Amino acid sequence: MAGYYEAGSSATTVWTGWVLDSNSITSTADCSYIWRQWASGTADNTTSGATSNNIWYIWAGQAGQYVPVGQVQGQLQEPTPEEIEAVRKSREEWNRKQEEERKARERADKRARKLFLDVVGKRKYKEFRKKKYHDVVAASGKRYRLALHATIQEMDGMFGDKAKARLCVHPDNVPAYDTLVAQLLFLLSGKEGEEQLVKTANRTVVAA
Amino acid sequence: MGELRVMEMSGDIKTIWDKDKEDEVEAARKQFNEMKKKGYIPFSVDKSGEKGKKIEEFDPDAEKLIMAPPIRGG
Repeated sequence: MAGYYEAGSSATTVWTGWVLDSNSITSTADCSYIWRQWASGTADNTTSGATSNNIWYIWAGQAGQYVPVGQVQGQLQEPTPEEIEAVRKSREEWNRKQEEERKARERADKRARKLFLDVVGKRKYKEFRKKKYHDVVAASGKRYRLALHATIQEMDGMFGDKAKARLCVHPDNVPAYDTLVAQLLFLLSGKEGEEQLVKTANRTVVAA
Repeated sequence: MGELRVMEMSGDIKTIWDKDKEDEVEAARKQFNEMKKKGYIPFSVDKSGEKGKKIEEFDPDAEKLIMAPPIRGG
């Protein structure tokens, strides 16, 4: 292809040539320039009879140098049965891994729910499942509201649903219920724990 | 019987010990210290879950210890 790849290069494919062999790029262009042009899809760096789209199309299936699209479209090779089988196996493997990961997440969530239940007790766990939040009064006398996948709310007074501030603070890489347990433990563990949690959190004041 | 629960990505890992069995206590203490070195924060919790406290040392007499990974602001 004029301007991109020298015919007769020893590189196996145009793609390989571009990736591995900068000399295969002709002197009229450099890699970054070509990539930039191609990515933006302009007509620059193409032969007069080609567009960016058909260049990609041909390169994906054609080893060797670029030829005008009309001469190549009918020559694209069908995948062999071995290639089709390899793709099928690859997909199966991917699906199997996805399923394994989903099951592992389910097991982790179940364990974390059980830990939360063990810490708060059956009655409060049931309340939590119903109300979707768990209120804690910490050593400072402040009431905090904990919920799954949510920031901690610093509540206004002992009753009601009005929040004064939101605290975003959590451990990394644990199931959602374990995050609740960690937040709860800090808040239940006296003034020091509460202060550490609040100090670490990103605190946003809720407008009155 | 005491128990140590360490939070992990796969859910918590539970270790139990009998305070009268030295090898069990030492195994739990070893795990406690390893996780503490990694920055985990240990809490001692009573069975009711009403009260907890941050602790620094392994307590073989504790009913339940929970170790949480370090927290950060989001």
